[in-house]
Amino acid sequence: MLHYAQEQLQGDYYTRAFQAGAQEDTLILNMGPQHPSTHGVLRIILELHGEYILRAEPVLGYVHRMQEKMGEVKTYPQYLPNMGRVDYLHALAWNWAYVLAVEELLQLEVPERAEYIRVITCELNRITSHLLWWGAYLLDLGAFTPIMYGFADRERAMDLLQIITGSRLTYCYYSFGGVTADLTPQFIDGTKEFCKYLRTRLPMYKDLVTDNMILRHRVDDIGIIPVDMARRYGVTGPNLRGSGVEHDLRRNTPYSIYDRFDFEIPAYEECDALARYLVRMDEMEESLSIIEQAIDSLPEGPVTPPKMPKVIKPPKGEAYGAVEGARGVIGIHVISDGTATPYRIKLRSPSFSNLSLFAEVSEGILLADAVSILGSLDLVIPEIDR
Amino acid sequence: MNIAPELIHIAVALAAIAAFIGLNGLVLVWLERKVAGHIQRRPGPYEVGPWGLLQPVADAVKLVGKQLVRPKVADPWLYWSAPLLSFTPVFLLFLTIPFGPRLIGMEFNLGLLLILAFSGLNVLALCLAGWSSANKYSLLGAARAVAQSIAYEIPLLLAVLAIAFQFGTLNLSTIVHHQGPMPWQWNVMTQPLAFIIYFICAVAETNRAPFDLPEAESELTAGFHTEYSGMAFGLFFLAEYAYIIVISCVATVLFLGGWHGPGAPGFWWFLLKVYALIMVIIWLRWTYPRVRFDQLLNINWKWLLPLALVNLLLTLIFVKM
Amino acid sequence: MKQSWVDELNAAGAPKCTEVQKGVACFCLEPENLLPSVRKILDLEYYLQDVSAADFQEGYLLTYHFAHFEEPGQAVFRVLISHEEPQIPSISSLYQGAIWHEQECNDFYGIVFTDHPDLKPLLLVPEENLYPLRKDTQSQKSFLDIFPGCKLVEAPPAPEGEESSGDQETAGEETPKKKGTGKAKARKGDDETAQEPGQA
Repeated sequence: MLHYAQEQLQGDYYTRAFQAGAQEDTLILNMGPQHPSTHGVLRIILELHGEYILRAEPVLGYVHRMQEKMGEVKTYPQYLPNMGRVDYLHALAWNWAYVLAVEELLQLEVPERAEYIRVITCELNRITSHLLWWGAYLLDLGAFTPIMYGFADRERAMDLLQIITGSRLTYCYYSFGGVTADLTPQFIDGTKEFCKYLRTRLPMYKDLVTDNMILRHRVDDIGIIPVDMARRYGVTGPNLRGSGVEHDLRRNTPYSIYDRFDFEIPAYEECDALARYLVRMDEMEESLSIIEQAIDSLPEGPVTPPKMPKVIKPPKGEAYGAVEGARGVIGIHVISDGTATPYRIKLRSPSFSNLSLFAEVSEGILLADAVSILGSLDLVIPEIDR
Repeated sequence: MNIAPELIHIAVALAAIAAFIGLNGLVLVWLERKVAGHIQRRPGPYEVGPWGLLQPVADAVKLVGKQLVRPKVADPWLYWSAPLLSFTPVFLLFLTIPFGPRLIGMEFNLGLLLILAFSGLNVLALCLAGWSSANKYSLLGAARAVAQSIAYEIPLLLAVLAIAFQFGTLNLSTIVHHQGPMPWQWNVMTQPLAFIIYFICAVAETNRAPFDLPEAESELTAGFHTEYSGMAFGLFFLAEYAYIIVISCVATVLFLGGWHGPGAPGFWWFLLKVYALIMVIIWLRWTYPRVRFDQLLNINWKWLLPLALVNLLLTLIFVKM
Repeated sequence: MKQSWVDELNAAGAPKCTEVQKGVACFCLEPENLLPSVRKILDLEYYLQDVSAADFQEGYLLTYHFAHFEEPGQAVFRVLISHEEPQIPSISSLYQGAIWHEQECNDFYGIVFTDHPDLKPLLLVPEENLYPLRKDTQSQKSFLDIFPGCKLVEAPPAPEGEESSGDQETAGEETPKKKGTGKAKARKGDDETAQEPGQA
């Protein structure tokens, strides 16, 4: 006979809110905050019938750092490093969204070379993000080897980014009006080489993993997100393109110089985890192509604007910087009151919206599929909690 | 008094088997890590000893040194008996396996039956472990383990039965004697389907990837052994490796000619084949994703079981003709 | 945003949006007009980007950002609600993605979303009401000062500090002052696509 203490039966605030007391036939399972497949400290409360999920509710806030409050007490440049820590996998996109918003407020013009450098580094960062997602997703599905391959390749790209940004993960590389450091020949040669190298690796990944029958059975027809659902929840990024919508800010509202490059927006109509998987695999190739084009047409010139104000004091007003991150539309809404600190900064993180549909999409599926869906949404928990 | 030599023989055999399991457990831990490392483009263990050979020893010391923790609400008797129950039957399984022409623990006419019967005990241990841990993940893992083991035991039995029918015996030595030294004289040539079914079922029975659902760590953290620490976990771990060796040994005996081989027959051929099979099992684990639970059962009930039945039927027809 | 859509939205909600800049259309709404407008924008197949709040002298400004899958640009809904009675209808029946955004606003500001399915703390600890983003009266700025385009309908002479009676009827028109003038310089090529419809 098992003896439970009364408080163990009751659970914490969220479990009690989820369901008070015990119930016949169903099992309340806490997945997380420490769980191998929640990639960090996401917690999901599940009501299970056998292995079938009746109800699911994500519980957030375990790495909440109140980034938006920090934005209101720091000056504009002081807040820049925070951006690398919102989404540690695609830090440069967050960098970009923030500097885009502030540049819009300041009406700053970015030198052309800096724009190219931003494109190159941001796309490189996108590749590292997708590579890690690929490995971690396969790890969720029980394949141990791909993450090592993904990491090894990602390591090369991170070494390259380290040359110019000085850091490996939480970059703070873009500055208002440009970038903090120019590209070095070492970086350019290394990136060219990396593009060639990764192009030999991606077909191998396809043979080894993507075409694997077990994988196909685990992702095919799992976690259907129809376009309508995506719209109601505000799903963006590869998850949306997996639902057949060719929505990509790089194409729809081309910020920076993305309209100068020739690249495809991969989209698959199937709306399932496989479609989202394939979108990301294709996107890596597209990013490679963008990088190669940008490096080939890289202009000479300065990487910072000729004259910058000593103190960044944007005029009163607001700006919304939106860029396409590896997980979707990153939006930073800055309201300026004319002082050196922002009046309000709102961070719109794509994972937040992408995860919010989990409760709906996971009804009636198997526990193993829930893991597969979570992985296919490509979540970064610090970005959700901010 | 005339029974004494037999008893002494068994006692010596059991001691030797214990040593064999212990040694092979260490070798397998090392091998698995090293092979996994090379599959994953990394060196694997290399710091402790030459080529990391002492790594399993360090692991074992670590495991032994760790505190044994029992959840407050777990049932102590069942909780602690589960790892023991998982590990101890392993000794009996090796008793009737003919490692060499004369190297056998106990000549026993129902050797195959003994192995099949006692290997079934493992699932009981997993079930107890999952149930008594008072952990929901463990419970789910145990439920999976039971469903999986029971399902896969049937085609496994049917595949083995085909061999037994072919030679009309359950004595493993006799089965080996019926095969010849050359690969084309082995049973795998006459019973390829049975071999494939046996091998798939065996991987599933030992809960190895891609069928490692009872301990699927991305879904159930660690499944039935979530709550176990230290040597209690170590025993599960050791039992898993022991079962891998057992199923490879049985596969070698039944399908790959046992200790027969080109040139001089002997236990080296046996070990070589066993390790070749183990390598394949390790290789599978580090290559494939995990199947889903309903898919796992579908493979069994929709494919393996009918195929095994057909195979058995064909064998019967050929034997009787 | 297409001009025809802007007109449709203007018909749905009482206050008007007259200008669209760089495809961004801004609508200042009253709380009771919010749901009809959101229903309209859902019919126009916009998706919800975010819901955020900000604390001003006049009250809490709620900003709803919508964007379209095919069309460039954004639709921005602004609603001002009073400090004394921070209540607004929830849009989560139309956009389920708003559930979390509204919970977050409730966490940070204590804004109550009526008809919200489950208005419990999302990111902050459930035991305390911290409302970390509320500002004290010294640091509160005037909404009209920052967004001169929007104007209060009632009590026109003294908007500053007046937060007692007239905030519910906040209505305004026009977009914020400078959406994307800086952008326009840096990225000239895109402007035509972005703003073709709305330059009337």
